[in-house]
Amino acid sequence: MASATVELPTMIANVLGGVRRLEVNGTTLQEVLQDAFEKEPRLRVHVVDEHGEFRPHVLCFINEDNTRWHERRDLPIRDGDKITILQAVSGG
Amino acid sequence: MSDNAGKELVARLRESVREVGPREAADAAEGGAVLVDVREREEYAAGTATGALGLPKGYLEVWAESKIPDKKRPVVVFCQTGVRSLFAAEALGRLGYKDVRNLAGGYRGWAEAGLPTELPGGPLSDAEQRRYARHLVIPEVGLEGQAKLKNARVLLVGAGGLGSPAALYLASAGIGTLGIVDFDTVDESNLQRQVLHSPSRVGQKKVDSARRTIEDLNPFVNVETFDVRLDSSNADEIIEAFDVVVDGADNFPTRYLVNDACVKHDKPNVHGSVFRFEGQASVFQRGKSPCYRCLYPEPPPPHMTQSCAEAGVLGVLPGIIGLLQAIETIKLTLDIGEPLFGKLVLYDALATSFRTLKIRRNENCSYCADGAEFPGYIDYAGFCGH
Repeated sequence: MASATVELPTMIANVLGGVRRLEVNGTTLQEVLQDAFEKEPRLRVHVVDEHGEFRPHVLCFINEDNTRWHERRDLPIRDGDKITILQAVSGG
Repeated sequence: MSDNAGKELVARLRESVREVGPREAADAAEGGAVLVDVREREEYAAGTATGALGLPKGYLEVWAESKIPDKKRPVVVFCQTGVRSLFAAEALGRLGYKDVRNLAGGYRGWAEAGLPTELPGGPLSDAEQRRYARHLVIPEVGLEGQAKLKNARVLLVGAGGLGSPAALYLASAGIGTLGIVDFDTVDESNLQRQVLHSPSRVGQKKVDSARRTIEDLNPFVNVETFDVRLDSSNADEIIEAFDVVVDGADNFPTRYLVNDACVKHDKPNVHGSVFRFEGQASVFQRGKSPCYRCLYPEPPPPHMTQSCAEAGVLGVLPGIIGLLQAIETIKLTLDIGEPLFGKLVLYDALATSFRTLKIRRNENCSYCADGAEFPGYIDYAGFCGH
């Protein structure tokens, strides 16, 4: 079981009452995200759809690597990994 | 030391450096040798052998290895008459260049032999060369690079928070033609970040205000304005006419339209977007990087996003991101450095952190996948999450 952090963008942090970072545990991306959703139930709907897939306007990085279009779904998580959730913003 | 030390040194160099005449030099260049003009920048700018590299003698040792990385490649150096270049030839030999020849008679002899010459600065006037003097001494820019900037046509989508800083610096740097597409008028609430505009312009068309600011800043820039909302009926005509597109839009429908048109017309799309204290930047180009749709296949539903008007934005933030876009545009135009292909820069102003994340192409992207036929523009009309 690895310990990792999930970092959230301002847009999502706003709907969680300002929570920008979660400490999570698990051995795969799916497990640590599930842990994050249990700790912040309102997070789930903003990150994944009803099938558990990342929403099209949301990105998830493990450290510096984008997980979108990755061949594997059960990406391993190691101690100290930083999971970054991003969402498209339109401001210009 | 004798009073004739200089002459003696030249005589010794003539014995040790291989000298060639103009015709032989031209044949060598034809066969792959690099012609190097070691005269001062002003002399080079006034005319040089066609295709010659400008490498002033004073900078020779500093620049040579970056400009001529292959030390086995034959080099023919020349100055005005063939004397200064003897010293340059000797210096290149000391740097390890294996085959260095001196053009006897120099540029004068080359021109008198009727061999081809060119103005490497192209259309740059003396006034422009004075204005861009700090660019001209940078090896990665120089006269050739500055001429590339002058010949470049860059389109700014939006004269707002991102477009303003990008426009100011791209104009100052000498981008020859700046296109600006924006249908909006200047509002007081824009002035906290949209530095192209000023209180006296409130109520004016943004494209007109932008034109005045840019023309004041640099009269050498040609400004082309499009006082329209970019949409699927005009995107082809506008975007096709430019070399690089800078996306400074403030809404998702325009961002997807810019992406799709850039993919269709194979234009680099220099992306920037901001929200409160956070910004994102990347460069998308078909075949070289993911496109915006690979990153975000669809816009968020309106209830999952907010615009700057709704949520606010720190006025300085688009300054940082817009200038990243300006620098990427310059790099693309000069073909230097590493553009942000396949990378997404995140800037968090509160944490003062820059992160560069790797992004992937969607191999099945309906727009940019290899061999994909353009599926047409998608009308996101009615999307209210501007």
